[in-house]
Amino acid sequence: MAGNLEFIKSTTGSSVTSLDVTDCFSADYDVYQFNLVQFDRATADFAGIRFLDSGGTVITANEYDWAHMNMRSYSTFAERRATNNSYIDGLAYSQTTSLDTTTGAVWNIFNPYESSSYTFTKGQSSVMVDGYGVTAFKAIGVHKSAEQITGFQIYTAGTSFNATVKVYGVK
Amino acid sequence: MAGSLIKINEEIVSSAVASVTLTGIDGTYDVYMVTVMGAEMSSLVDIPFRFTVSGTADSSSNYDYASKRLVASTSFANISATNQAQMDMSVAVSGSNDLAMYMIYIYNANNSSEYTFCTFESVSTSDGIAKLQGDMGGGVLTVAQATDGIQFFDNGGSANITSGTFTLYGLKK
Repeated sequence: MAGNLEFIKSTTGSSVTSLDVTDCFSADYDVYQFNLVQFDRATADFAGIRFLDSGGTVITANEYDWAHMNMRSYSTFAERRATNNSYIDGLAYSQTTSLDTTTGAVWNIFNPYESSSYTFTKGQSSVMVDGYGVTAFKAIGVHKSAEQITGFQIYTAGTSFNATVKVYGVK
Repeated sequence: MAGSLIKINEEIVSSAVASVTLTGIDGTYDVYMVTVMGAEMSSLVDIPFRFTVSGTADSSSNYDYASKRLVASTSFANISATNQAQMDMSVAVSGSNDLAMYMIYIYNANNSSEYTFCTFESVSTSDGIAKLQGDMGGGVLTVAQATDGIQFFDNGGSANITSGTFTLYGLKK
């Protein structure tokens, strides 16, 4: 029985404050993987994700729960969590546009296109923090509204960033 | 497009079953991956797993595991046990909005002179109240033997698996 990790699309943003990865979920797959292969920005901040509804509109409602462990090589580990939030945190972090502070991440998204189910995600990210060292995020999240999801958004608090995202379906 | 993730076995549960067993691990691949999509139980219990030997679950008390449990609503927890009859890095899932998603990587399974190892990640809404939890960890079956599959079940024996898609993949060399 053949199966694959099948490439769906790549999206790149340059000097954007958010990056929408549109129309990447369909009935063709139940499980998706996306890789964040570049993320850098001039101002220190985290990045997270939001989902896009069936019309391609970003869901900003307080319908997200998330938790992540920040495993810092240079300090103690930190727990971060939230319920009823407006996004899922823990995807990435950067504080300069220098390439040595980028983030590499691999996340999975489960059930996005199924309109009768919540959409789940889990992921892990490796982040180089300028002047400190490497840290790793292990993260989970859920969008607690049963609706069809067609894409997602790389979300930040508003400062501009550069990013490239590659999306795959797990066949 | 050619890929390196080869689907070997899949079971889709749409009516209650006591367990799900995926076999098909052999020497073809070094690493195997199992995905569990949308698993749910008939009552509020965990969904542990164990490995199979010649298609039969190894229920010996030789499983060790440890994980970090991430929880959105409260402090995280350390989960660990040794000499268990199963690996249980899961949370209880039952109820209309409870569902579990797993991704498990299995190593050394076909090597009869080595232990079978796995790493485990999950994300679930759970405890009958859609409480977001996820476990990140690993485990080992401390028996030098060849294992050929994985079985999901209720450790207490009273609950059934009522939904979910369980899939075994090989990672192409």
